[in-house]
Amino acid sequence: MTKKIVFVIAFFLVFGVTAPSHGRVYIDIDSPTIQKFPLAIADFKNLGKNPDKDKLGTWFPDALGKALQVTGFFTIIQRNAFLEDPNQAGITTDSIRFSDWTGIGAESLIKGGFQVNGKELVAEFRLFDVIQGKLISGKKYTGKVSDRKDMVLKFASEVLLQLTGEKGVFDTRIAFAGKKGQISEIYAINFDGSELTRITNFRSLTLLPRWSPDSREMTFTSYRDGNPDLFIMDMSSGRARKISGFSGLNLAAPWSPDGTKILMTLSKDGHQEIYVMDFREGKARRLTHNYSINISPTWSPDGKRIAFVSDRAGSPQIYVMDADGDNQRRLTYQGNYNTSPSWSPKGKRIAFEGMVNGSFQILSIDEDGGNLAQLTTEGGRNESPSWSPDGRYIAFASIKNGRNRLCVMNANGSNVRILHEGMGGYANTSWSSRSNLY
Amino acid sequence: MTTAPLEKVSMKINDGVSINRMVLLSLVLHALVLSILFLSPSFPTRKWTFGPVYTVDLVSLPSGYLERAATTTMTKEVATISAREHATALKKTSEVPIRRLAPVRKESGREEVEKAIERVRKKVAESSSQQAPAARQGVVETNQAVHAYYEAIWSRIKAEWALPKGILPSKNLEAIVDVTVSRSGSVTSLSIERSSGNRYFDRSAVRAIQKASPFPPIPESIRGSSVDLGIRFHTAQFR
Repeated sequence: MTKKIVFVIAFFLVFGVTAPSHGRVYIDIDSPTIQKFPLAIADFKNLGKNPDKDKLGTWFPDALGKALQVTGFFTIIQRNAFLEDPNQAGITTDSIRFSDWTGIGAESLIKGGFQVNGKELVAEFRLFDVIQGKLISGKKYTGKVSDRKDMVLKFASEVLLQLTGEKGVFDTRIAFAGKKGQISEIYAINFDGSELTRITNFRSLTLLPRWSPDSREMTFTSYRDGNPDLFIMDMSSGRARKISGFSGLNLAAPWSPDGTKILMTLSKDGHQEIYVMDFREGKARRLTHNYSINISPTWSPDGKRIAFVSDRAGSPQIYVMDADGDNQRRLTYQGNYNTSPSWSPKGKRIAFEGMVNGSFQILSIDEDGGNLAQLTTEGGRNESPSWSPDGRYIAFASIKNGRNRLCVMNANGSNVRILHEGMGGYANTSWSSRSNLY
Repeated sequence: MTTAPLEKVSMKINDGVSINRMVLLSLVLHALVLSILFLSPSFPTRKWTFGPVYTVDLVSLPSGYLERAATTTMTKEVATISAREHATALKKTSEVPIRRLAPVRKESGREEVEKAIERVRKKVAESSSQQAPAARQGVVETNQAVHAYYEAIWSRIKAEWALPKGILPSKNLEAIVDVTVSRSGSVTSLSIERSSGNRYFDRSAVRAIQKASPFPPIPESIRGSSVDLGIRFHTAQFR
């Protein structure tokens, strides 16, 4: 009996192998091993006759590498790994031996050249796919030598567009309240941590900056006149005027995506409630009606819903309601302290600050309450998250080892980067829209 | 040292006919399971995968965007790659001592397969610790070779797949790339059989295969002038 079975199976096995098979083999691959694009940036060539006295040949690749590194999507391959002989190779497709670049693990390559004539600079940039051996994008910029960083950021944005489908956010600014001594003022800083500027000079507690959707105006709250009043500032002139001065709190909250309304928290009726003010009507309308605290509202990207914080269940939790105040429902159930919601302009996630094991961390959650994720893990306090306009980054204020800092991370919590540190405190981040510079 | 356990086993076998039978039965079962495991590639089923061994979870896929339609031009671009260029590129890697940036060990194809075969062989030797009839042993080895070959391809492509967290949409993506591998191991055709709907995802999949090729030569136990593979790339889950 047994022998028979063995024979049948043996036959079956042999047949299985030798039979001409037309079936397909499917191989399953579940996740990328390399989680950043490997990119090489060659030294730029001096295409003109004038000597390279500003060392632009290495300045360009260094500046580009720095800008792209900041995005968290690239591994920049070190120069000393390069195989290419720079004297032999050119910057065009037919003068590049792509195997020199695939051989060191690169997937993309940036090459470029420049010409300097006095103060004039012409720079060209080329992005190559070295695996397919072809040009993806090439740009030529003309300007002053002093404009060279703009050229770099423009092309870095182009690289992001080509390789990830979305332009960079190099032309955005992050506003925040910065504390010095007993007062705080509104400041703004570039995405890459450059160009810190002070926006207000009220010499009092000034907080809660909120950019308008076109970034031409900003609302904030200031104790300038003794009461926390709400102001609006024209960013080009720097002129500010009071738009809400009820007794008690007049807390600034985000603008609606179409720029016609702002949210705010007022305590004129005795406790904090959420209001919406339509600029066209000039009147504030109350959205929440109960005897608990309702604060920190934020719009959904389509302006149809509002997330906010309420302590109606005994502890501060995130709630969501329709833009007219209807259909209020609780979003967060984990932990007994969840505040500062910020709705992603893309995707359907809400970032917020929550207490996890006694420390304050940034978390994010789907707008329907699923997929809760803790984004920050370090530091005693991480607070007031704010999304970049492309939804890929979150700015937040942080205290670590007693040091205050303003940070940016990728939306999944990776690549945490310090934008600024050294002030007495950072709070209330607000990310501007793109200025379409780059 | 290693012979000791073997002696014990043979003693048990000699103990009685019933044990002998049981061992035979277990052998048959082993062969059956192995045959299903190893041979299913040659069955014309389309939903075949390697199972849990090859399942690796993507740690986190943050919210993203890029819900663009796939490019149709991709297939054309892809079809024109030259295998020779990649051959030189791979040779270079082994010469350049950049371990951090090129962490993937590029052993010569045969070595890689042989190592994998050796591993599987050991595993089987451990599980069925007595001599099987010669014919069956041969079949099992053949299957091991087939299995090891696909495993080698799998690990090579996986090691080359580069895609940053953060540029993918929150929903799961899946793309299937159709690849024909010649006897020498070079990729003779490559096309997207099913697009993920996200061209950056599709592109990264195609790049991974291009970087991973050429593959080791097809082992003799697989017949035919080429092997047709469907490489399925997917993001296991959101976050």
